[in-house]
Amino acid sequence: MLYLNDCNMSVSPSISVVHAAGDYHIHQYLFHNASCFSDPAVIKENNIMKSNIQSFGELKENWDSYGADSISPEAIWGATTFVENMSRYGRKVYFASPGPNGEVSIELKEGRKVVEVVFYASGTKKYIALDGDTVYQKGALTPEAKHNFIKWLNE
Amino acid sequence: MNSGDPVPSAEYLLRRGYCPQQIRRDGTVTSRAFVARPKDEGKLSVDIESLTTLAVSIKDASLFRLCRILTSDVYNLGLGCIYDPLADNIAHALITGLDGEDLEIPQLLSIKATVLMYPD
Repeated sequence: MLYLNDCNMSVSPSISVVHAAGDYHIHQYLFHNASCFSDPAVIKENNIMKSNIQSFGELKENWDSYGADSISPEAIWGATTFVENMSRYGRKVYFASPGPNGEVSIELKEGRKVVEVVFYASGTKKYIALDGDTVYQKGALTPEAKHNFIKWLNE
Repeated sequence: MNSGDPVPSAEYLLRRGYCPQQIRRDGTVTSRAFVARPKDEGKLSVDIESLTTLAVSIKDASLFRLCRILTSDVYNLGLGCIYDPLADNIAHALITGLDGEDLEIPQLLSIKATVLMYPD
């Protein structure tokens, strides 16, 4: 099953490949070297991560003992929506973490490469991409930035 | 050491990480444990390990894990660290110079930090 619109891709596929994998098929289309496909195992793990993120809403003020704010519903919504989006890219979310300003952090990981995307109560979304302790890119999360760091993780 | 003095580079600092939400399965800590709030004015509370005990610093071992970072690693990131004893915590110090929504410094602090296997 393909989710072309959910991948925010605006161009036609240049290559189409069908992989047999167990009792299901993964249809992979390549767009400017980024891939978009669904994988039941990734969807399952990401759904567990979404439940984990939703549980951050139960944290009370000062949950970190340093005076943290409770986690904002807007940040939880932004983070869970992003996780759903990553499922459509076939990208498993590595970890999710609450922050003291009511934000939610999502981590993607591939070997030494890590991307952290942070969803703030204000609706602001920022990311940083690191290779080990070297910063590769950082800035506001835009569709183009997302496309670029997924491509970078896949390289 | 007097209040306001720079913490010596060789001292280890302790910061609590909320467990398991800020401690990854591989035993490392996320950047969110090293984020300052706007009202903290760029300062992050830590304990100087040599002036406390793990049992005191962790406060509640059912909720937290201790993350240890060397003061020289803090200085090497361009941050400050000053002694700031409190009435109920003589080990208290502040890492200074953080920017609230900057992602880079919290990431680098978390990479430098080691999560202690305490009390496990």
